[in-house]
Amino acid sequence: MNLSELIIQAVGSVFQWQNLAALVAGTIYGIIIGVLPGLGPSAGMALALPLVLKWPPATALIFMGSLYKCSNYGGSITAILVNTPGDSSNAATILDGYPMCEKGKGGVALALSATAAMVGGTIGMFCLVLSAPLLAELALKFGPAEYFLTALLALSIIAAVVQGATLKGLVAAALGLMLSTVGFDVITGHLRYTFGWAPIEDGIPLIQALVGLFAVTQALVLAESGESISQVCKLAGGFWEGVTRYFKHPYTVIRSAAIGLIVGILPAVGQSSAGLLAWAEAKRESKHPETFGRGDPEGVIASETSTNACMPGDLVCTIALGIPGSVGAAIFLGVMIIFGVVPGPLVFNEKADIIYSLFIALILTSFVLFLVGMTFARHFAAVTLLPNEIIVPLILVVSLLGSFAIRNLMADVIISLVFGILGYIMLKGGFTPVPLLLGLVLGEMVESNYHRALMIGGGSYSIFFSSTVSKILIFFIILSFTGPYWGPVWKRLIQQIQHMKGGRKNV
Amino acid sequence: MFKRLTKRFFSVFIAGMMFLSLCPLAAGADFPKKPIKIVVCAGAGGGEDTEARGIAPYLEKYAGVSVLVENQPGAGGKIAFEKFQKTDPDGYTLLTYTFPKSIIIEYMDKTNYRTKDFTPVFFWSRANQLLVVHADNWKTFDEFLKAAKAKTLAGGLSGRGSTTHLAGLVAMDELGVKVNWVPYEGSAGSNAALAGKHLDFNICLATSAVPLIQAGKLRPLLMFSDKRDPYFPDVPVPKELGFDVTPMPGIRGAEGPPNTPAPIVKILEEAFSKAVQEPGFIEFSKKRKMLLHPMKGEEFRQNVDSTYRHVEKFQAMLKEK
Amino acid sequence: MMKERLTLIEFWFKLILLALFGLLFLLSTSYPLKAKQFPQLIALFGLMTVVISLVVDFIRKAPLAQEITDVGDTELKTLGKEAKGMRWRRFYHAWAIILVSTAAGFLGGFLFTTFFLFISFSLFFGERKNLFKNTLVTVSLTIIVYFTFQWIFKIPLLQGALW
Repeated sequence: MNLSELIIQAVGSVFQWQNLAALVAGTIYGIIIGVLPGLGPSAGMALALPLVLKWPPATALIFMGSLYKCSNYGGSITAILVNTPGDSSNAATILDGYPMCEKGKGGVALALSATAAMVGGTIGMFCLVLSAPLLAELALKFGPAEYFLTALLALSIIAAVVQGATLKGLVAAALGLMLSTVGFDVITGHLRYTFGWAPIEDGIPLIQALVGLFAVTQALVLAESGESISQVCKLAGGFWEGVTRYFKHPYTVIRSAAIGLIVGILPAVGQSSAGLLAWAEAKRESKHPETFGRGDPEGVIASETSTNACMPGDLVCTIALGIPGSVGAAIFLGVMIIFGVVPGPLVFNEKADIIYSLFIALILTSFVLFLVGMTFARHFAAVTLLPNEIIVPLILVVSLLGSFAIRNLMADVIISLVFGILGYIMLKGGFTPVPLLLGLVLGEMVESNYHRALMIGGGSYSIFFSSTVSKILIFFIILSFTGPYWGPVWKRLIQQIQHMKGGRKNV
Repeated sequence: MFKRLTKRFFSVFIAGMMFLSLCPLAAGADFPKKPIKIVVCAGAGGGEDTEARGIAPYLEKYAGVSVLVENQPGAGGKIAFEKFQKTDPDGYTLLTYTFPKSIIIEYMDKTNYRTKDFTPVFFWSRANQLLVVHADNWKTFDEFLKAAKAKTLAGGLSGRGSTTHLAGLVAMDELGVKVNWVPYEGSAGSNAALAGKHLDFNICLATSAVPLIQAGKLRPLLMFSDKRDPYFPDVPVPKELGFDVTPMPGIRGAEGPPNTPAPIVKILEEAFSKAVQEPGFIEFSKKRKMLLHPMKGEEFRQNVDSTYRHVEKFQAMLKEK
Repeated sequence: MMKERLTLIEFWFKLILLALFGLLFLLSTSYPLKAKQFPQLIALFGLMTVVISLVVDFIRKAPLAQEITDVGDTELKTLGKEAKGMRWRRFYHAWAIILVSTAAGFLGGFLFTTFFLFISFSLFFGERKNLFKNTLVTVSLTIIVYFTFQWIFKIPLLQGALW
């Protein structure tokens, strides 16, 4: 059966009622799970697993896949309306999404996110369908040295995020990196800074910290103000304005989707970085970087397009090589195996019907998501009108529940509360918590791959620039560190030239 | 005034709950009367979790009550183990994990539990470790061994403190090979590194390498087991090649908390043995390439003792200085 | 006035950070070589940046206000003393409620945390006239949470130290 026949057959199977139902159900469920801070796609899939075990393989995978794909959009809703990312992948969306909401453009932001989900997701899916094996090959070329350099690159690009208050941003990042060392050290097996407390032995759990830093902090800020979000944020219409606005920035869209795809394809680099990297890049290349972080729609476009392109990227290595690209992908992998769909290149031959049904379904979810999102977004927005005494405990209950549900440990709630205090103090002290989050996320990747690379290279540093990939990465790192300085130098150079030209004319 | 109302409400509520909680005790003797919970000390979607969820429906059939699976991940299982040590031995809470993970952790760290104390109920599968290399490199185990003895190769360590870690150490030691171990968190990372030719070889759980082997990226050279694995019929075992390597398979099954009464264990054992014979479960295990190896409590207890001795021998190697 | 308060919090926070980085640096000296390289490097980097930041603070006090608006925090407008007092009071109340509710959760399970959070916030933060409506909301939300998470998702909401 050739490709076109396969695709036609897959489309036919997707439109069977149970698969369509699974698609829509997965989309809606994914959005709802995403909205709840702390409960991300991994928790959502884990919780739904017992329910889907009895379904036929294609239906179950379509449900899980739609869930995984759409939870990010749900998270963006919370990020925009409540200044709380639903999952670490939405961290960048709060930077411009919430300020937009505060300015009364919440509807526009929501529409931007829905459109980004549709476009980014579709771009990502097409790349996945057409070139998964090729992209997987590329991913394999990344060894420890390359991962180390990638993490370094991510950290350096993120420095752009904190350009407004550079020193404080670096302090926050340093704190995040420091916190990432807590727990079991993969390289030596040594337990660091745990003081015998088992819940942090695996390191400070990321989602619980995220919930604390953003959700709890936001709840405290709201409690302190005694107001509902709606007085702090007005929601005017403008949904279609958002949709049309999105398509006015094609370059940003393409660049962000590319970043998201690349981050997704690399196993071990998760979705958290995708949005922030795209945001930081958009800010750097913008003609008016100072509007980023204050409600520039391009910021929302960049971060959401990227994270939505990231998820299909995650699936590339998962399906082509059986190597999960993220925690959510790992669970999806487990689900695939339960249903007998063993990933690897053979799966394209043996289970072609299921795989292609899945792909077609996932492409469709982008559009279903857009419809659902646009229809219900204004209803979600009602949450901004809730009175203070309801919204504060609501945020607390929902996010702390998410924290708790991951390991069924009350200790995780404590961890979130501690991070809540930290986030609040940081906010009052004029620090942004975002670099801290990123330090926490990337710390392990930087450290463990540095050691691994040296171990393989026998202690010599040459391994860091021996391969083509590493040379390219080093080039970009240097570029991003020195980038901010090129601007003024370039300007002065041009001025000099013009001056000289002008001078000569006068003479 | 509100404070008093709240206090009153609270005390009534507590009294009510205490009354309700006494009821199940009165029902006592026939087991099982309420749902059984299987605790998985790893996250959802992993091997342990999938196998537990796989056997749960069949166990339900023979136990007569519903069986729930609860995840308690963290610290490689230590959190779940320590909680389990103190759990009520009423047979309603069981633990599943990959043995001898819990013993290894005891030797790596001070723990508040003892695997010796847990009550073995039933074990259903074995997971063997596999030695894999990149498909472009050595074609047979002999070639590999020659190269490994001539030069210290870079080998993947798939998870410190895991069964695979210990098995790898034991195997390489008994083969007389020095290795430059590169630690990864689990088999996924190390297999990926090997597939990209960043490592020379890897020791991992057999099932985790299947996709990459099928992709033609990795080649299995040796299966650490007594006899050939039916899912990997072409891979030799050490005995055939004349090497004496003690296999350290990961054994999966269910245990009860310390001091679970024997009659309850018996009932559970019976239910499990029937469950693993269900054709549906056997189908499931084939899909997951699980090696079924049913073992009842007593047989397992002996295994526990011998493993303790083994781990003791190699405990120094588990921690890097 | 607001600026001063801010500088106080910020100042103390930076001091705490200094202590933290220093402490973590010292704690890691007993770790094996590979395990302490990164923590010590980061601790030093952290110490350096905090020190530079403090020095900069003392040299130039003016740009502080600018930096805060960069962070996008709209709460920091100049407020009257009375309003500020109310805000701190609300903050302390909120924390007290959170701590009590979490303790209740430890004892009885997360469902109690849910219940206590809602009821306490409505008691302390809500207006008298809304009390009945809010209690209704509390009870119904607690029930919804119970049904969704305990029944459908099987998360143990009633597992605590007491039972």
